[in-house]
Amino acid sequence: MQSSARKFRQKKWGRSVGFGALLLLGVFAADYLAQTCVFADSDSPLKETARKLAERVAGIPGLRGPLRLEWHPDEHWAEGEDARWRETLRDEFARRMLPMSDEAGAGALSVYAQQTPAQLVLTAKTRVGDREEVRIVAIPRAVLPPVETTVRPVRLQRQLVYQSLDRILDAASLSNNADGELGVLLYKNFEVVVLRLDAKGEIAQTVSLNVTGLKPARNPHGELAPLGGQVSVQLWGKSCDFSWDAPAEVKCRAEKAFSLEKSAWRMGTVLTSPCDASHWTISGGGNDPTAREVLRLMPDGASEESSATVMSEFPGPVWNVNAGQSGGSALVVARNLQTGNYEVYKIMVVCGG
Amino acid sequence: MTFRTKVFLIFLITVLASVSLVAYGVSYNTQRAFEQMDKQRTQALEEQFRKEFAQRGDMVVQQVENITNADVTVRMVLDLARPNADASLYLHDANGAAQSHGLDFVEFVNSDGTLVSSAQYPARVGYKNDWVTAGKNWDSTGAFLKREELPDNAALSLTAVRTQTVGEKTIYIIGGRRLDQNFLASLELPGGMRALLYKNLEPSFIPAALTDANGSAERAEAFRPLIEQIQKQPEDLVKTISWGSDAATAETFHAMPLKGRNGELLGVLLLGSSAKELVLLKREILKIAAVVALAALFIGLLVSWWVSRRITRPVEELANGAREVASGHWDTKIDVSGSDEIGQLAGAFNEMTGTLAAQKEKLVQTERVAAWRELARRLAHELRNPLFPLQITVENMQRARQLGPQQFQEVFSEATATLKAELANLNTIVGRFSDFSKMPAPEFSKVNLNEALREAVRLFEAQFTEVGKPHITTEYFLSDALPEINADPDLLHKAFQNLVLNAMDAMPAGGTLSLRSSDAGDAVRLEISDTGKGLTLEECSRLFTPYYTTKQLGTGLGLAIVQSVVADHHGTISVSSEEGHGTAFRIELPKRQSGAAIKSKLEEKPVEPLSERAATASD
Amino acid sequence: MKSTKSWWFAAVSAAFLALPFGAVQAAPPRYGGALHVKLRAASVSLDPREWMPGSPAAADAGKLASLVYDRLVTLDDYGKFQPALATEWTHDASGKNWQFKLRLAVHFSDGSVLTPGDVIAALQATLGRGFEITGTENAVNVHAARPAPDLLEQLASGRNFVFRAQPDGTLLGTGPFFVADVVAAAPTEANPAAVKAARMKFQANENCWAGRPFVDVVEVTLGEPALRQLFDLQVGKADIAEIAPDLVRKGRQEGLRIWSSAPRTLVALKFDDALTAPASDDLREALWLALDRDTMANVLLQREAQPATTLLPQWLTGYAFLFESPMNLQRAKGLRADFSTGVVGAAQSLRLRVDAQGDLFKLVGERVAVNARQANLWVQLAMPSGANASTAAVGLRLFAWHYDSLSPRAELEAFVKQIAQGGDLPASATDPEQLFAQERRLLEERRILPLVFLPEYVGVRATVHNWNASAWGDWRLADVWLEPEGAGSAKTASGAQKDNSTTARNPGARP
Repeated sequence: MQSSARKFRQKKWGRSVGFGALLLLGVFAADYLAQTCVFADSDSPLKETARKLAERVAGIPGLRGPLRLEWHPDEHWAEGEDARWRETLRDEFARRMLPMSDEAGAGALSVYAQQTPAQLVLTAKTRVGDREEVRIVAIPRAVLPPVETTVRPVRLQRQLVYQSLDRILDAASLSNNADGELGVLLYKNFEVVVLRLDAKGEIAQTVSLNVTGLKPARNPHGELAPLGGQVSVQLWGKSCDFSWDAPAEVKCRAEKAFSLEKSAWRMGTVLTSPCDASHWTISGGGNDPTAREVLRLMPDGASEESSATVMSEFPGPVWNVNAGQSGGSALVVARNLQTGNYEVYKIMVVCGG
Repeated sequence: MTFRTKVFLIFLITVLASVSLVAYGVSYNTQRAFEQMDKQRTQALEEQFRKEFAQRGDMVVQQVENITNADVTVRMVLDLARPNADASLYLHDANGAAQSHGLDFVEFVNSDGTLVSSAQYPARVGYKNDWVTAGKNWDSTGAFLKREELPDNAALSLTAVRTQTVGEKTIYIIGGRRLDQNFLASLELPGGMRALLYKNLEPSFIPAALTDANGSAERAEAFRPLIEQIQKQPEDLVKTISWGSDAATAETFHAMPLKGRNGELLGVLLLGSSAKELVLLKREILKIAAVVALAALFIGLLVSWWVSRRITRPVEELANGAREVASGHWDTKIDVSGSDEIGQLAGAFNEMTGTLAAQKEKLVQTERVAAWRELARRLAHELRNPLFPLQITVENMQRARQLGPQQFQEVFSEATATLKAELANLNTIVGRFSDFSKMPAPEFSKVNLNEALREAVRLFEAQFTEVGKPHITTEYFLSDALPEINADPDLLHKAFQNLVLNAMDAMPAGGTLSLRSSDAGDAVRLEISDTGKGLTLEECSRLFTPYYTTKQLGTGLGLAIVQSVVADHHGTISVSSEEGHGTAFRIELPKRQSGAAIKSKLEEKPVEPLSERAATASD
Repeated sequence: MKSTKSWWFAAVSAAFLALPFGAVQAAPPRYGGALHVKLRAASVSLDPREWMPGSPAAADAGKLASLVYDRLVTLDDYGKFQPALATEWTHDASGKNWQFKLRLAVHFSDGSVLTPGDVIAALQATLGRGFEITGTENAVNVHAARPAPDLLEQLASGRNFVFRAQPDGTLLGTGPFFVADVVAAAPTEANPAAVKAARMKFQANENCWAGRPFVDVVEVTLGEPALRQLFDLQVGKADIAEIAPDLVRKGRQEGLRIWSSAPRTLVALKFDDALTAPASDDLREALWLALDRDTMANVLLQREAQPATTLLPQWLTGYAFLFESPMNLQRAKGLRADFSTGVVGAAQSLRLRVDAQGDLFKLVGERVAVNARQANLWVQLAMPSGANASTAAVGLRLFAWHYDSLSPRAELEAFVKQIAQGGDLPASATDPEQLFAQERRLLEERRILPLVFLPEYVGVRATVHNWNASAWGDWRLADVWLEPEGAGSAKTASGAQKDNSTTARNPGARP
């Protein structure tokens, strides 16, 4: 997954470079460049930030080690991130002759991590004698490495197969095989793009549809219907077909307004259990774009309140559900409320607890 | 001042006094009645205020209880009783409770005294209200007066506190209503009365804190002394405030201090009563009294004139009659009819003058008889003294006829000598009587009395110092400044001679003769005193009676002559004597005589009875 | 750290809690309908050039302007700048020279095409001096006099909209709506002094480059009193309405869906120039120490506000937590005891004028007076409506400052210019540490005493879908769609309930 993201971003990076008339140099340039290549190197912005802070702290006159690092992230800091940050900070401080110690007697060096709309602000606070010293550095939030979200699969196997900064309209299995290639329909900066991901999740092919006459939409929605080497894409007011083999030849035609209403994905999507061939109907929790969504899988004949109902919480609203051709798995397109990324999960009912 | 004037004045004064008294009485009683009424009205108002106050208090208590028992409150209390309860949830609840229960002030206080919610001062929420947690038995405590802090000022409130307890936690519900002009407006005031409320929320007098039923009271500054006095000493006080020079503008204020739970002075209720009606009524009374007094005075004048005339005319006639009697017309009669006291008095007067005339006649007769008897006795006595030797001599001569001629001759010549002597003696006696009857009328000229006295004494000086006899010394205490007076020097000489002779006779064993003269205003005073045996009281009273003498050889005419001379000079003579110590004669003579009148008077009355003059002189 | 709770997160969670959780079956977005918005501001200027930085009126204006105008870039909730009228941008190492490539074929509401010239004219006016803007065929170059690494933040917020000023004075925008009708505020007959609420009608821009908005019409009513707004929401006369902070709790109790932003308004005290002399240092320090901000925020404002010890809020700077609550009554009393008798606030009372409109600010002002009294300082409230308000000497003012920039530096600069009159910030203030030092210096002068931060509260009717406002108050109404009126699933004010079987309630019914 990581590598597929990297590939995509690298391409974007290339475009940026190609466009830029000015030289992008220095720290700020790096910051703002970084936002367009989020996943280029997930650790380097972190290290860069830690380095900057360590340099500032090391410059405090009269500050001597060993120091006890107190790490104060703000509330929505992911749990798993703490160790990574602490370690990086320790390393950077130690490199600048500020050895860290866990002893209670050591002087405290508090580092706070706070988010503002656009930035992550790291503040180091310590005392030298009776003087309080504060050093602050800030980095754009956009450069921060993605956070590994922990999800709770409950008798429902769930796998994050792809994530993107851009709006994912749909995802579809390109083969009957559950581990096979994936097609992803993206709405990127008001353009429609189809990606083909290989089994490892890396981008194998990118097809830009360049639909002429497609009206920009606030709720872009579409369906990806692969059929062998052919791909059919349903968009609002347009429908297009192309072949993976000849991606440049995209044929689009006007169509009566297409509405998600018609497809009614949530109500109708049914998974088949590999254990007893029972059918599980997927239903959603709501359509609040600001809330984590819980999908319910109900066996035939059960109601929502039934104890047999399986629930799975996603890190944000679910935009689309696409049952695979086999019926054994489904692809769920959701938005991660923490990062703002769009994510594709593969879900399947598994036997046993 | 005549009796009539007096009666008239007395009558007039009596009328005026009684009118004044009645006016004063009416005025006084009116004032009393007014004051009484005022007091009653004030008391009634005070009562009404207390009742209203109590009623409002009950109402507040009821409203606070309603809040306390309202579901919302109970829920809040249950919630607040939980540990770590969020009291801020109830920030606006007090306001809601105040609005829905019609209270001006509502506060909820947590068990630790923290203000949870305040309708009147939400900005204070979170602060402690310690007084409420310090208090006990709130649920049985009625409403009380309280100073209520507000954001921009303070107010006076009738407050009640109730509690709601859950577990160990007690929530206090404080509710109150503002005590202001609305409260005053609810009091029913009788005419001429008004009620004011002073909210004593600042240490000093603030004029704006005084309100009446319409808002801020006018001319509040006038109440400063009253309020300040109560601030110093919070007790009921009555004070009159005058709003102008006219007394009718004055208003009497009954001030009642209103105290809080701890006896602190929070307000003053002023029940004002206008003096206007009283003053106007008093003026009316005075006006009527003045008119009545004038009328009474006029009628009184007429009546008293008539009455005094009625009463005084007989009295005047009586007085005239008495004056007639006094001037010697003993038989004067007055003409007063009627059977009243005056008539009886007149009758008695007439009877009295009748009796008096008869008595006088009788007395004159008696005195005349007595004088004649005295004269006869004196004459007999005087004459018998020489007659007795005459008789003896004649009998001796008869017996001598039997003797020889010689012897007879001897006896005869001796007897004729004796007869001659005794006859001369008889002649002297007759001469003396003759002299007395021939006392001449005085002829006035200027006389130096001191000189006259000395001259009289000089005649006897030889006898005072006569050898073989006890000596008499003479002492003079004569005033040098004594003026000459109009007098008859011969008569005075005779009188002084008699007095000196009298003194000499009173001192057979010797002694001192003192002579004094002094000026006594219009008169001159003389005193001739001796250190003789003195006189008895009886002798004193008869001293000036003619022919009365204490001496063996006196005719009893000496002092009568003296008295006659003094009386002719319009003077007085008196005697003072102490038995064994001597006698002093004092004579006062006027300096001037109204010559002709006196002379004619004397000529007119030469035959005045001696006894009468003596009585006058010895009185 | 607890006190430095992120408002962003709080805002998201608040919205989260208030929303009908699991209440509805999925429904696709729907086009059409009229969105009724009620605002408190009596009048709004849609000309960004007229907005006063920091004024609460500018906040409402900004909301409506974003219906009509677009920006070059926007900031999403994840800290990422999203292309809007600019599709791409670059800058040089100094941060002074920026280039923005413009999106092609963007049309104004009258059909004319957006040109770099329009962008230059608009931004030159809004960014102001210090920026020189030039254009190429399809790009604009921004040259800043001093490094402007925060240019994107500035462009994504505040008044930096792109518009075209027409000769008749009206402004055209490329945004999702255009102004269809304005009913000007007119005096009512009964009370000529009272201004009748003005109405503005915004029609959907069918040809918007970013897609037609879902709703056909946004009807905005201005000058709605706070209670009326709440009532309108309950009875369904409003779909979106501002909720006064003191009514939030009531709204919640009534089951309204209430969204809150990050703190957007600073309520603070400002000493008059007469009191900034060194002689008054102790007075200012004593008042600073006497203020009980926690109670103001947590009790008086029922936790609908935050205590403020800084000029800029934590969510904007990230360092505000470093300023700890300075309350120290004992020290305040100590300072007070040392005053010379002639000092204002000691013998004579200090007059506090509440410049901000509304009972809420009056309440805060009263609390200031109460706090001051605890330290034996006398502060007397003077309302600006009073007859002698203008003539009476005022020592303190209570004012509200509305944050409208996403750049802390720009915000502080505007604040200093408008309120503190402290001149320009040093160029290096873009560095957060410098900004921190600058703010600390301003605070230590004690001329401005921050009291509380107020978030913006918005009541959103349950029939409004896809409400996804940004924490800093961008309502994003173009993305909102409405449930059809009278539909079986019409939701009501009781949406906060988890029980989804009781969806058909009467509007305004209490839960």
